[in-house]
Amino acid sequence: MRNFSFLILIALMLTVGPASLWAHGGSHDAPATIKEETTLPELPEETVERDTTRPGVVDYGMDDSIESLGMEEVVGDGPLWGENQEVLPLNEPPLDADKMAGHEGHDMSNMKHVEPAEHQWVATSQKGYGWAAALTVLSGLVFGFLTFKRPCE
Amino acid sequence: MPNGLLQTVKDRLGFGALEYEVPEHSNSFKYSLGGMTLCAFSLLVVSGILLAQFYVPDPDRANSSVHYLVDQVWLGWFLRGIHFWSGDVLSITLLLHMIRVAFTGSYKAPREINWYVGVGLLVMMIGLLFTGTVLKWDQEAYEALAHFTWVADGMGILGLPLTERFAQGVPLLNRIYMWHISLLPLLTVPLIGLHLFFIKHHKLSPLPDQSTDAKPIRFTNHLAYLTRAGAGIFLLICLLALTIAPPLGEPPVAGMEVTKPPWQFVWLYALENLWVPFLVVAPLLGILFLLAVPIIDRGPETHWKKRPVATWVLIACIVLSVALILWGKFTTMTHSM
Repeated sequence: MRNFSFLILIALMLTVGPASLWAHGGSHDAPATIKEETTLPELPEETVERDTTRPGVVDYGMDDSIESLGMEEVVGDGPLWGENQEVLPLNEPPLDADKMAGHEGHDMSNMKHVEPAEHQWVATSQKGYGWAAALTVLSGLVFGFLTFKRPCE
Repeated sequence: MPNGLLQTVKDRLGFGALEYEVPEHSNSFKYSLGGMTLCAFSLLVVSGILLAQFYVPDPDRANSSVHYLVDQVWLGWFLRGIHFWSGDVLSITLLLHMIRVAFTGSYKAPREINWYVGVGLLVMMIGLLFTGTVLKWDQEAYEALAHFTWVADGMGILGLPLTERFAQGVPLLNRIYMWHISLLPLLTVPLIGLHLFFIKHHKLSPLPDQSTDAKPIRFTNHLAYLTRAGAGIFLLICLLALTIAPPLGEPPVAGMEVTKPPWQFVWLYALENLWVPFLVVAPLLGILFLLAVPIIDRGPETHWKKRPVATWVLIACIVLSVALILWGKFTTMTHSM
């Protein structure tokens, strides 16, 4: 059992302050909210400030009748999207990867509001939460049995 | 009768070959970190296969397919959590494994080649982690890919296969998906096999201060220990997946940089802040340094007290890495050129 105290340590490391310590998001001093260029099309509010914590709000585009997810209104064209010009806008400047990755003053002239994603607590209303909890308890029981009985060790 | 049946099964399947002797210290936390890493990798493979059933590797639909999985598919959120946290746990056990090997001088003769295989596995894991980060296709993913293409461009002709220009008209996301689920696993699995083969061939490295008449145990005893360790790893990952949802943003907006990379890459982000070409230089220097370790430190001594230079270099590397990670996480980046 003593050997597995590291598991508790790792659990603490990964859980304490997940949004701050292990968050995969971050921000700069400069606010992420940037004025849009006037030449850009008007963006639907939903596309840039969607609440992902509420299931059912997001249009997943899984309906065949939906040709695209409106990404042509949200994202820019550029090399990372391939050359599918049919669904990409022509009025938005292409992503200049060199310029962007080169960080030449963080060109923010063409920016919209983007919230960096962060860790969130899992809602108990998620589909199958009870089953997931049961599986976790079961794995705990298996680990407990192996730890106390030590079969074949 | 059950014992007879068990013996028959063991005979037919050749399980008796697993009864060979290994050192007693095999059944310790320090010397089981590699096995724990393998457990986490196995979880990644299984959960990854399931995740792939729901993923659409198209820039227009990739992000929404992940949202759909998380919000609408039964246990989809849990599956994604298992995959994500397996990657994080693997990163930690892998790093601890590397530190243990370096601390005990286990890279020394005759195990140099296995150290190189391990370095290869490290590169594969970094590649898998990076490509996995890109697949969710949110802002963080997009920015990571933009940095990647910048690095690939900086590598000239060597980086060409990693850029969009290599296969024009094919979104890089499609190819990265192929690397993640096909190319990199195909390279990783043989390397794992080779790693295990060399461990068997050269035997587990002895304790630095071990006497020659150490008591051996059977390998099946070690497998039982690893099974328990694997169960612990699985429990930890389940607990994490049950409580903390991995980050998932909205579809990316081109031309912005508002996110930071995952903690495994944030040290590079911090270095980039000092000097942007570090993005290319630092990983190369890191790999070269790891490859040079068995060549530079060739003495027979493995106890850390008796090789102070190696020990201090190891400690310096750990401190530097932690400092860079904390710096990258908690400070504001300016990216001055």
